[in-house]
Amino acid sequence: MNSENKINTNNYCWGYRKSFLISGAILLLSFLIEFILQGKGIILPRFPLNLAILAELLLMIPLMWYFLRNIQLVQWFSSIQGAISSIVVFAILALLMGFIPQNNTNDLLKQFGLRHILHSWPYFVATLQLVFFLGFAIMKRLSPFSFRNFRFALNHIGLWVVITGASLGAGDMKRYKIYAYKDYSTPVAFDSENNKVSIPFEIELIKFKIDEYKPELFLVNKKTGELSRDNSRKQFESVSGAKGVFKNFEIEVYKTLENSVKFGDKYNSINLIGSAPSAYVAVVNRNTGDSVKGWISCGSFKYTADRLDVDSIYSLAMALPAPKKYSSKVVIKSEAGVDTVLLEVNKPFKHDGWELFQTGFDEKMGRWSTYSLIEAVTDPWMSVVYVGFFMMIAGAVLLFWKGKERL
Amino acid sequence: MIFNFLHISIASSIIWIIGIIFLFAPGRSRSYFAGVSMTIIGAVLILIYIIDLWIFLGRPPLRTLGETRLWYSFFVPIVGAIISARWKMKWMLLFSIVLSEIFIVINLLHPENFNKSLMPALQSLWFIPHVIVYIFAYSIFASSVIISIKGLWMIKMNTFNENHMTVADNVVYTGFAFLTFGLLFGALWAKDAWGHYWTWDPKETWAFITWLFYLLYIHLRINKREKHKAALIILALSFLFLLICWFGVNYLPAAKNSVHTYSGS
Repeated sequence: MNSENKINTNNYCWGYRKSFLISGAILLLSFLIEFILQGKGIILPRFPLNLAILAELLLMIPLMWYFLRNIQLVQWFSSIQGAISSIVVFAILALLMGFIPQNNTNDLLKQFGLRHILHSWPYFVATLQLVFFLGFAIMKRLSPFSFRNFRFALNHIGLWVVITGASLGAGDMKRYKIYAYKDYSTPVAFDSENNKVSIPFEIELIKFKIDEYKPELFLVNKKTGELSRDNSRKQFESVSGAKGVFKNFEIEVYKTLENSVKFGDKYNSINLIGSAPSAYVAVVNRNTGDSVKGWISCGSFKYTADRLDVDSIYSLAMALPAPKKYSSKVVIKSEAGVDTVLLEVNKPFKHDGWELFQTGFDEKMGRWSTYSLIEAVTDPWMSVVYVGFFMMIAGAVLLFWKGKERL
Repeated sequence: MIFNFLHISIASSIIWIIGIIFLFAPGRSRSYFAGVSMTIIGAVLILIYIIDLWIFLGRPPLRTLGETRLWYSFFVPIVGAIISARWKMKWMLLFSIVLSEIFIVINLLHPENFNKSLMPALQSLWFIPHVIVYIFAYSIFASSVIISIKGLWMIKMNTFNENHMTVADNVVYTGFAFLTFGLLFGALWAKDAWGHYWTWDPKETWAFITWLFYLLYIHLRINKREKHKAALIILALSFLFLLICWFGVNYLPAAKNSVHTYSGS
């Protein structure tokens, strides 16, 4: 706590009611502005404007604190009532985001910015209020600085850095999707609205590799489409020799093929594009003693799936196998050089200020996907936000370690 | 699998009932130590089942809602026992056991399918710390919602004691620390997996809402210390948002496109 320059904030006039009234009024005003501007929202500032805004905040807040802290407005900025009202305002917007689907529906909600809250005036105002009030709270508690306030500093400065860094950095962040095809070096990418954008490098897919889990078998109710699993509720994988019981049917898998195509009545192993897993199964109906044998397959983009009718109501089906692991060997060419890289999920690759992520593939084609979906991200302000993250993690450790201290 | 969940849950329930009997027995039979021990032993049985499941699935059982409920049933009594012992609150043990039983019953009524697959996005070193830290935080907040309801009840019955808020504050500080870890671990992981640390995905949005409301409680307790009722109501409300974040996002219409909905059943 400040010693000599202590302001007795308990006596100043702006209590909770006044604080909420002002914050509430500002929030309503921002919704009105959004409405008047026909729900078009705000544009995120980019470099160098965002840097200028940061510099301005870093100058303005301390200067206002040192020269104007005796005025009631600034006392309100740094007060606990102010802090609480700014948290509440932000929480209200977050709740609206939680309940209202953020999409392009053209309705009254959109006019007030509620369909694109993150790019709306209310969000801009709420963030500005939070950044401002948090900044002043930091000034009040930490001037002069004492090591007793180290935990406060970590938590509050950390949060300030995260929110300011993320909000100002959003305009400079680019996330683009690249469809990398084999034998084709592409400098084309798409943004989140599927507009074509150019990127400072080219990507060519050398090889796309995917490991899949074994396909699962299910019993299908032909009338209702309902799926049933093995009675033990364990996954029934299509593996040679597997046995299980689905309702009153005993299933045994005699033979499995990983890549196959139907020839006449049976499946033959063949590695053609579109070939799919298949299995030769035997089903015995416990109630009637009837037995039936045949081939089933999950099919692919090219070949239809094959089911085996086990009685008039049910048939046995094979689901498409789920991906276990996939990766892409790619060549990246730019002015900075050429890199040949294996991109895997959760293992991005850094190249010339960009980070490349293996994000997906053509799921309709599955193992026969002709492209690898790569995401290229550049985020110059990321390091700033990370500093904030680590400050907050350290602050949280101290929260846990020391508990609530007596103030 | 060696163990059957129904058998384990019956065994835990029997042990917990014995513990409760010791806790509230009349006269010399009463034993707080026995109560706490039974609470912990019952929880450890659940842990044994979790380990069995982990080995069987060949992956951490942290993916589906049912699996996270299982960990919750383990953590809640343990956290309740620690808080109860630290702050000398017998009723905390009782309510923790009741809450754990609720989640066990939910799991018995909605038995899950044993699915060994783990999609590529979840194959990361962050998977275990992020989820476990969150479930641990949720368990601590289970205690805090019990504390808030008890506090509101005490206010109504005019038996309220200021010390109650001290307990609440300390529990929330601890829970909030772990909630913050969970949130930030998630952000750090998201950058590795999806290219950005925060995308306002419905799960993330509700996680942030939960975080903000506990933050609000903490700040309400700095000044105006006599407004206990408001603080306790916010504390209870925060748990509601926690539940929405944990389960609700799978059902809310705003969440249809969430990357976090991979219950896989």
